[in-house]
Amino acid sequence: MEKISRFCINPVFLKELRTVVRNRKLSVTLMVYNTILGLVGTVALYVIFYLSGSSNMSEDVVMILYLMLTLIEFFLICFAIPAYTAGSISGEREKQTLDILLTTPLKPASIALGKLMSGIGSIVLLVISSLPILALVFTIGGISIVDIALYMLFIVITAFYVGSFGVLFSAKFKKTALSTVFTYATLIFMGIGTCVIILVAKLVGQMWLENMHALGKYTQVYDADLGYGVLLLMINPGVTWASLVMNALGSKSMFSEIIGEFGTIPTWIINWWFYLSSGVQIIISFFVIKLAGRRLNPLLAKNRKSKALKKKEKVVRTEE
Amino acid sequence: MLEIENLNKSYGDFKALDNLSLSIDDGELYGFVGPNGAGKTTTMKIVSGLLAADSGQIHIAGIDARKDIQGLKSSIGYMPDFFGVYDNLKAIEYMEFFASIYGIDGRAARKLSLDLMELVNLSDKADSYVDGLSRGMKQRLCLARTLIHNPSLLILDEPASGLDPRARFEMKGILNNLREMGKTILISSHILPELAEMCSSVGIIEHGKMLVSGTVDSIMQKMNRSNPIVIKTIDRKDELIRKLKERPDADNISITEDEIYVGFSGDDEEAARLLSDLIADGFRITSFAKEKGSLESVFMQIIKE
Repeated sequence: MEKISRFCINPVFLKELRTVVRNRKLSVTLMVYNTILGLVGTVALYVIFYLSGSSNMSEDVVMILYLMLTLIEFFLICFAIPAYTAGSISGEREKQTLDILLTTPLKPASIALGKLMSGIGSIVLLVISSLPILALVFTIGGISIVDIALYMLFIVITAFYVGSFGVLFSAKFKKTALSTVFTYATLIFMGIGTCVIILVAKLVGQMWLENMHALGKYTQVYDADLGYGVLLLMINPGVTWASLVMNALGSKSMFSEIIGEFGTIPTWIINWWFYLSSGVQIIISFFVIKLAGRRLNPLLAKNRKSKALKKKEKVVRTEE
Repeated sequence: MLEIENLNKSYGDFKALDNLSLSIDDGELYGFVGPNGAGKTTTMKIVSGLLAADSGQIHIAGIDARKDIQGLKSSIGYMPDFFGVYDNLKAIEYMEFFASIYGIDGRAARKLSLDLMELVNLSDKADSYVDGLSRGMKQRLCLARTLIHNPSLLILDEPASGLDPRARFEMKGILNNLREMGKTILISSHILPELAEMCSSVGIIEHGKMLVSGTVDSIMQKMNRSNPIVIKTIDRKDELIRKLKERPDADNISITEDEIYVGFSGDDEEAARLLSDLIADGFRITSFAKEKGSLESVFMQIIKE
């Protein structure tokens, strides 16, 4: 147990926390982040209480306010995570501090995890600082403290998940700019790419079924069903957010309908989507961190180079 | 303490290390000398576990460094040629951070950090931010950091590069102290006169090959044998040169304003005979001596050969 806690809360994490909180960047980020959330919350409240002209707050009103606040916060966090993690190791390399760190007994994976944990630490600070704004939903009711706690857990998992890719690219690329671009690209793939893949697969499947019907192979036009293919969406933090929020607002059936539109999967998977997808994302994160550790290990560089050289030689031989 | 045998390392077609071998005894201060790109930093990085060798053996205090990486890391203290420091961290915090990596925390870490900072004359800078320190101070802080886990071998890549004369003098003093404390030190530097003063042994490397290795005295003696004889005479300089040219054991004669340099292949006995012959021929010799070599001249000579 002590080994595990030392592996996670390692000296790199503690040092990073110390330097991050001393940096002006954090205070500015906190201010900008809470200003945006505060503005959204204030405007939403103004619209709800004054412009609607009604004193009876329906469930829809709570839904809108909760949806708006969590969605905006989710986007802001997704935007902030690469900024906190994509430069974590490439920054050490640029500052020429990485070599010294690698000659210490710290395992490369532990360095990578320490960097990730400090990134998550900053995100947690952002989320905690925004709690008073998020608490606006309590003025209306309908959302419980458990929902807010689950939402915070979701943000931490998302930070861990997206941040792990930031650390991986940071270990892979020498330049922070490049690793930042790759982290955002991965985030876009996870958030939008997976949805596009599912949509395109559904459309292609539907077109194929319609063609089959036209050719007389099927007597009727069936709905394309991707089946377990929709589980690809488990890696999409946006869908995890949707499952969480819809659960909190009692719209579980709506989420089930949307997923069911694309593929039929057992109901228990849809009911437990938030927990299952969170689990999948945590497993992927650990795998990615392990990969980042391997990337960081200078003694494994030789094997990577040898493989690259062999591949190059193979290409040359094929061309000959 | 450190045994390197037949170390090889290539970057694509470029052979950075070519069967490099060297041996450093306990408590030695070993100077690693070579032109840029000779393979010094590559060797040091391989010994520090920062680079994988293609083949060869490295043993540090009996540990097989290529197999027991954790053993290697606890035995060495490495200071790279170029290094950065962390922003927003005080000097004492920088030391404590590295102490915590080695499992030293709390009061013990603070005491050890302060002791080591005192050793490198930085006790008054404990509460200063690292990025605000001068280059010389950063070098000394980094040196103190390498000592935090009491390693038996220190690997210092160009520790005096970019330092002003005063900072270099201070660094030299600290290294001498460390040597007296029984630390084994492998150091590379371009400032050869300083290396000659400090080091007990040196190794000269070029194109990844060890050209010569041994104690400074033995290398100097070996190389000085072929040093020219410098002769000063009051008059008849041209006649003296003609006379020297007639001798089969003298060649490569060159002249400066008041000195004649003679490449002499004979031993000390023959040199003494040359001097007595010249005096017998009536030349008024005011000075007759073998040119005293320096590590710099030895280095240039070996590289030329």
